[in-house]
Parts: sequence; C-alpha cells; structure tokens
Amino acid sequence: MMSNANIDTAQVDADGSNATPMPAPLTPGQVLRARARTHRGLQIGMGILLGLLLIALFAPLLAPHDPFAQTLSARMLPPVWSEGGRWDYLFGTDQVGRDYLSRLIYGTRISLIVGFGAATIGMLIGVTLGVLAGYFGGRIDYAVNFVLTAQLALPGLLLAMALVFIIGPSVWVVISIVGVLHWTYYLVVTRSATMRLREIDFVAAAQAVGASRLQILVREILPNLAPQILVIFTFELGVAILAESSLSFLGVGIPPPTPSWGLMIAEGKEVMFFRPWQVVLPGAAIFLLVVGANLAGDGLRDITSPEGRN
Amino acid sequence: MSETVIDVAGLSVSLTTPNGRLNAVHEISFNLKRGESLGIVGESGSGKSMTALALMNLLPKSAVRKAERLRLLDHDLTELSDKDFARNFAGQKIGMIFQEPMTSLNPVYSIGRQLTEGVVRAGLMSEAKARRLAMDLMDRVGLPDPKTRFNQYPHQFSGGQRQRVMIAMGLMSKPDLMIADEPTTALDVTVQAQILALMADLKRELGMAMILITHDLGVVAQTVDKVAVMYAGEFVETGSVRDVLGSPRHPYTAALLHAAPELGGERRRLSAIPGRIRPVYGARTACIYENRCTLAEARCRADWPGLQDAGAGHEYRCILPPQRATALAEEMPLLPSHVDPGSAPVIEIENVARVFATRRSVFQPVQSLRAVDGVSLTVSRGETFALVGESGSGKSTLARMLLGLDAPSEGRIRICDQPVWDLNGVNRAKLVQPVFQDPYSSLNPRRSIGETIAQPLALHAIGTRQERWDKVRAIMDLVGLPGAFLHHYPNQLSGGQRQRVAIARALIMQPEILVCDEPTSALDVSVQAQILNLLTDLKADIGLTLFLITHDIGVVHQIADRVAVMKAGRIVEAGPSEHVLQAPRDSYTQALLSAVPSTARALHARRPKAQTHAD
Repeated sequence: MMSNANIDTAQVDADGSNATPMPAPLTPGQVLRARARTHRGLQIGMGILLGLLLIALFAPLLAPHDPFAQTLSARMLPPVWSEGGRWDYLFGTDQVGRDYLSRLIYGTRISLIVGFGAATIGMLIGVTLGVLAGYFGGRIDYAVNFVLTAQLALPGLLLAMALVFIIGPSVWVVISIVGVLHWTYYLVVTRSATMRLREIDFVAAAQAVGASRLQILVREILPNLAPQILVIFTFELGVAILAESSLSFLGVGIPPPTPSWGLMIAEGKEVMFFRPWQVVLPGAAIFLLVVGANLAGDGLRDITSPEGRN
Repeated sequence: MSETVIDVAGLSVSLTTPNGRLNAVHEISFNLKRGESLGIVGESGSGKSMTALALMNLLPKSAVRKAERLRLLDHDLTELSDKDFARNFAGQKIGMIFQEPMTSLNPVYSIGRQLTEGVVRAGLMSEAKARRLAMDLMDRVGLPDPKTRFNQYPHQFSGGQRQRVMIAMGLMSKPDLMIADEPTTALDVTVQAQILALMADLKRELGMAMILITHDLGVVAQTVDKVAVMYAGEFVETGSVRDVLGSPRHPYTAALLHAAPELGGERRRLSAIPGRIRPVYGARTACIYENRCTLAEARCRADWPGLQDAGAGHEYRCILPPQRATALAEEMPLLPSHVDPGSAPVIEIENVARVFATRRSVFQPVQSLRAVDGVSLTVSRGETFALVGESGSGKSTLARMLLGLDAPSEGRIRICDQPVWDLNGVNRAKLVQPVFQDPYSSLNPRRSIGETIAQPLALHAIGTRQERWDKVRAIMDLVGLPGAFLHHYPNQLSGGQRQRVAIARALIMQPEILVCDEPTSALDVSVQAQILNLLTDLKADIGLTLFLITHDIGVVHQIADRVAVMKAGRIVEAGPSEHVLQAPRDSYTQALLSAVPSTARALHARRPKAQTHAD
C-alpha cells in the first residue's frame, strides 16, 4: 500500500486499522439520510408534497368528471356527506354545475405549476444577484443592495395586481410576476453565505490552481449554498402558491374557467353562508399544500444546517 | 501556606453518546496547596477541558460526574447542589480564564462594569470598594492608566490586554483556585510570555492554587510546579515538572516531548506518534496508549495498568521498565545539514509593498495601510525558507502576493524569472501552490478526497480521466494517504489526514514551490511532527522549494534553512536559520526568541527558577 518507506507513521495514522471498532464516519449524504429518517415533520411535509404532485400528474385519471363540463341540471349540489349530496358528485358542484372534486384535482396542477415556476424564477434572480453581490462586494454589492431596498419598499401584492391587470391575466403572466416579486429572501441568504464562503481557504486554493471566477462561483461556492437554497425554495413555494391564490381571488390571477383554488374561493364567496363547502374545500386544499411545503422546508433546514459548514 | 486548596480523588466524567457511555475523564486524582500550580497537558480529545468543566460544574447535561473525593478547602463539592455551587463557588472561590479573550468579554458593557458586576451582585463588597479593587487589579495585571481604561469597552483593548482583563476579572473575588484553560493559545508569543509570567507572579503573591490547561509542553515547563500528562481521559503520568519532563517514565510523555521541535541542539527527525486517540467506551481493560505505543507488548493488552510509583510524587501508568521510555528519543535519525544557498534563485521579491486603502464611509477620506512595506527576499531552489512574525506583521499578505492571489502595489515578485501576477492560472499553478493553516476550511466539504486532489487537473483538462485518477493515487501514496480515502469526504478525516490531502492537492500540479501558511499550527504536536516529517521527506525526494510562514520558532529550527523575521510589514532580520536563531542581531528577533517557551531551557533553568519577563 505504501511505496514510500520514509513516511514512517502515515500508514497507521491514515487508516487507523488497528483501532478497536470505531463507528465508521459517514459521508455527508449518509448523514443527511440518517437525519431525514428520524425527522417526522420532514417526512409528513415531503409526503404531502409528493402526494399532491402525483395527484397533479395523474389528474385526468383521478378526476371523475371533466372539470370544465357544466351540468346545469346539477348546480350547487352539496358534498356527498351533506343532505342532498350525490355519490357521482363526491364534493358537490359549483354554480354552473361543474364537479367540485375534479376542479380541485385539476387546481392542484395550477397551484404546483405556479408555485414551482415562480419559486424557480425567484431563485434564479435572487441567487444570481446574491452570489454576485457576496462574492464581488464593493460597487456590485452597493448596486444589488439598492435594488433590494427598492424591492422591499414596493407593496408586493398591489404591484402584482397592477402588473397582471396591465399585461392581461394568464398562467404564465402570474408565474412570471409572482416569481419576479419573490427573490429577496434568496438574495439576503445567499449574499451573506457567499461572503462567508469567499473568505474560506478552499476558495483561495482554487484560485491558486488557476480557477476562473466563474469556475469558483459554480464549482466551489454554489454547491455549498445548495442546502440553504433548497430550504428557501420550499418556503417560497408556499409563498408563491398563496400569492397566486390571492391574485386569483382578487380576479387578477388565473383567468376563468381554468380551475384554480383561489379562483374557486372567489367564485364561492357569494354563496359562502349558504354553501360554505365551496370556500372551505379549496381553502383546505391551499392550507394542506402550504403546510406541506413549510413542513418540508423546516425539515430540510433542520437536517442540513446543524453541520452545514464542515 | 501549606493548606490544601483542592483535593481531588477518583474524578470521572462519562458522557452518553450514540455509541455507548464514553469515559471522557477517568479516575484522575491530584491535590494542590496554596501557591502551587498544576499543569494539565494533553492533545485535543484527551479530556483536559472536560476536567476543567467538571471542576467548575459546567459539564453538559448528558455528562455524569463521579468522584471519591472532591474538596475545596473545607467544602465537599460533591455534596453541594448546583445552585449552591453556582452562588457561592463559581467565580468566587474558583476563578476561571478561558482561551478566547476576544469572545469572553461582552462587547456592550464597559470593562469596569464587567469587572465589578460579579462581586457586587454576589454581595461580596460595595460598589465603591469593588471599583477601587478593580482599578488596583488592572494596575497589577499591567494595564496602564486604569482610571481611563475602566470606562472603556472591549473593542478598545488588544487581545493581550483583554486576556489581562480576564485575569483581573478572575481575581476580583480573590479566588482560592484559579483554572486557566489554554489562556495564551490565541496570543502571540511575546504576549504569551508576559501573561504567563504575570499569572505565575500573581499566584505566588496571592497564595492561590492554579490549574493551567495547555497543549504546549514548553508553557508547562516554564510556568507550573506539578504536571499531569493526560491521555484518553486519564492522567498517564504525574509529578513535578522536573521529574516528568526531565525523565519521563511513560512512553506517551516521552513521545510527546520528542514530537515537539525544540530550539537549539542537533536537528533530529521528529518522533511522530502514529494513529490517534482512541475514545474509551465502558470499562478500561487494557493500556489505553497501547495502540499507538511503539514499545507495546502483549501484556500491555492484558489489563489496565495500575499506578506505578517512581518516588517523590512521580506516578505513571505503564507496566514496562521505565528506562525504555527514556531511551525512545535517541533513536531518531539526525537530519541532514542545511542546503547551501548558492544555487539559482527561484523566488525573487524586490521592494514589494502592499497598500490597503480603507475608508469608514463614502464621505470620509481614504486612509492607506501599508501591510507589506519594501520587502526584498530571494529564495534558492530546493531550500526551505521560513518567514516568521507575529499576527498582523503582514506575512500572510506577502504569501497571497506570492501565490498570485493579490497584486503587489509596488515592486515585483518573480518566480523562476517570471512575474507571478502576469502569469495565467495554469502556468502559475505549475510554479507555486499553497498549503493553508486550517485543514478544516481548506477542503471543500462537498467534494470527495479524490475529486479534491484531482481538481487542478480536471480544471485545466490535463490528461484523460483515467490518467488523472492514476496520478491522484500516486500522489496520495506519496503523502501517505491510503487509496481507500479516494471516495471519502473531508468530514470523515482527522486534521492530520486533511492536511495531507491539502498537500497532495498542492503537489499534483508538480509545482516548484509550496507556500505553507502556518501548515501545522492547527494540529496537535504528534500530528505536527508527522506533517513536518512529511514536508522534510518531500523536499528531499522531489526537490521542492518550501516557503514557510509561521509564528513557531521551533518549527523554523526544525525544517528551515533560512529565515526572515517580519515586523509591521518590514523584514527586520534575515539569514541562515542557525545564525538568526542562535545569534539574533535585531532587538525584535531577540525578544521573539526569548519569549518562546522551551522545555529544555525551562528545565535547565529550574532551581533556581528563572524569570523571563519580556516586557
């Protein structure tokens, strides 16, 4: 094993083979998996997210009816457990006789698309600016901080409403606008983390072997930010879903007749006191998804941050 | 003066861990009279800090303390409740000084308030009296102008001054026992010498007992009366400093003594201690040092060795004949004499300066700070050049410029006749590579060992994938890392192993020069010896030029051919290391050298006890 006999002690030092059974240290990946296995919140959160993702993917198979099909003879049916409910319309129907369960199932798609899309756009903007500001500092940092301050001074929902109103509502417009307005959290976290990482010796070591700035950012710094970014992504997922629902509720989000949970609440609010399930059911769906996202985010933070540094 | 202050017998601390009950401290016993001091030496993980925490009742919740006897003066500490101990003992009868002077003081309160608060709140004295005492003590610990400084805040004090404040704070309640955990580790050598002398004086003057915890044998040899060598939670050897360090009976003590590079005398290869401390779970059934001991025999594994008495309070836990341990050192081979500095220069530094422009805000004028100021040096091929200086002397700034990470403001640096700053990354990487101080931060935690070492090659797309891996294996072999580590991650390796990885990464581009910035100061003595031996071997085997930056004069003596002493950005003295170390001309070099704690010198000077005041 050792060709260089000069290096006297290395062999024993390095493999420690003569030591009594010491538990073998784990790789970072194994440590994460071991922690994830005992973290109940993470498991529940991830379970909810995964479940809803599957529902969204297989919506056409799961939905009992066409979510757009109006059956005027069967309007405003209550859910099956209420008086007058019917088994072929499990969660009842809305004002124009569309199956509520099918609309909820298809609504999962909209929520997840908007959530993931907007969180991704926010991540691209926030992480890019944060890493640049943190790594280069100086004038770039000043400029980015100015943009950040400006962004924080804007009333988000109001601006989103105005923008959607001007551009015209569609799913992609909602995704873009919600995304463009939710990057500050990414920026703040990645900027300070990058400032810390930039000073660490392995970055200097990479510089000394001739790595370019881009290579250092992509290969040395970004991988070390990944856990934090993932955590923020999960939180922003929840925030974006809520933002979409709010916009849709206010009528400047997803245009009808697309099934969106926020829109369903808006449509149901006129009959809220007579047909409460029309508001309660989509509300519960939003609640479930956002709780799932936050539990997953909390869990990810718990399992990644305690050792995150080394 | 002969009253026993602290009497400890059979003190054990065990911790609950996922792997079972860890015996962090195991049946240690000692006692101290007024004016006596005990030094506890050991490497990281030996349990020395845990011992201090056990005495101070500051153990973590999962720890259990057991003791046959734990008495402070007339009080039985085992019978006291935690609350009682905290109210009447901690900080009053027992004072404690921590390692980090920079973080032990609360930045938002004035020094005066922090000094007096404890005693006033405990009702020991009135505010006015506490104030007078605090100023008195500040004067006593060598803080000039106590009246003004009393109302100043921690950031207005330097590291050494803060440690003096901590000492004064520890003395406010006139404790009977003072525990100092690595009180000078974070300080520069010259400051360290002053603080140690101060503590020894105060101890004698105030009739305290003192426990000094350190990893530095030189500090122990110079400062305390009794010493306990700690290993894997037990005292493997105890006795007077002269007995234990002068004629060690335990192989670990002997190995530790010979692992530390010593100033003066012949340069021998260091006796590195193989392996690492093995934590002990459950009962002790064999000698705990047996797995690293070069003298170990079958009977060492049979039973936990009992205490052997060598007379005059000198005790040790080893069943082998004591002469064996003492003879350990003589076997290390002598190192070859220094390289003749006649050959071609590889590094030429001419009148280099680095000026940092700082300003407090956009509206204030720029202030310039000359971190490196008019430095000229040449280093010849195959030589080991050491740059010595205290923190803030500009030595790391010079190293960054040498590595091409920073551009010199004035002057130029040429390596092999090429200006470093103008070279592109690949060509520079083939000339000069760094090894950093902290092996924990110099490796990217998200990358496996193999990837880390191969990174420079992959970055510049040198060779095929297979060729790169072959090269990585060869280099790992060269620095003494087993091939099995290829797919390990840094967090699975010990400090010494990580430093080997950092050296391997630096060597893979086959550079001419290795710039080592304090390569061993974050490591234990035994591991430091391994790394220094490795560097010596590499230099001999592949003809490397080493540019070494260090504050440790022992390391300089051990491996450097030539040395330059840096102070406030300037070189104050340079020359062959024997000349500079033995006959320093510059007054700063002289002060630096006399401040270095040296075991041999301290033992030599004992009785009559020498006083080294470096003020």
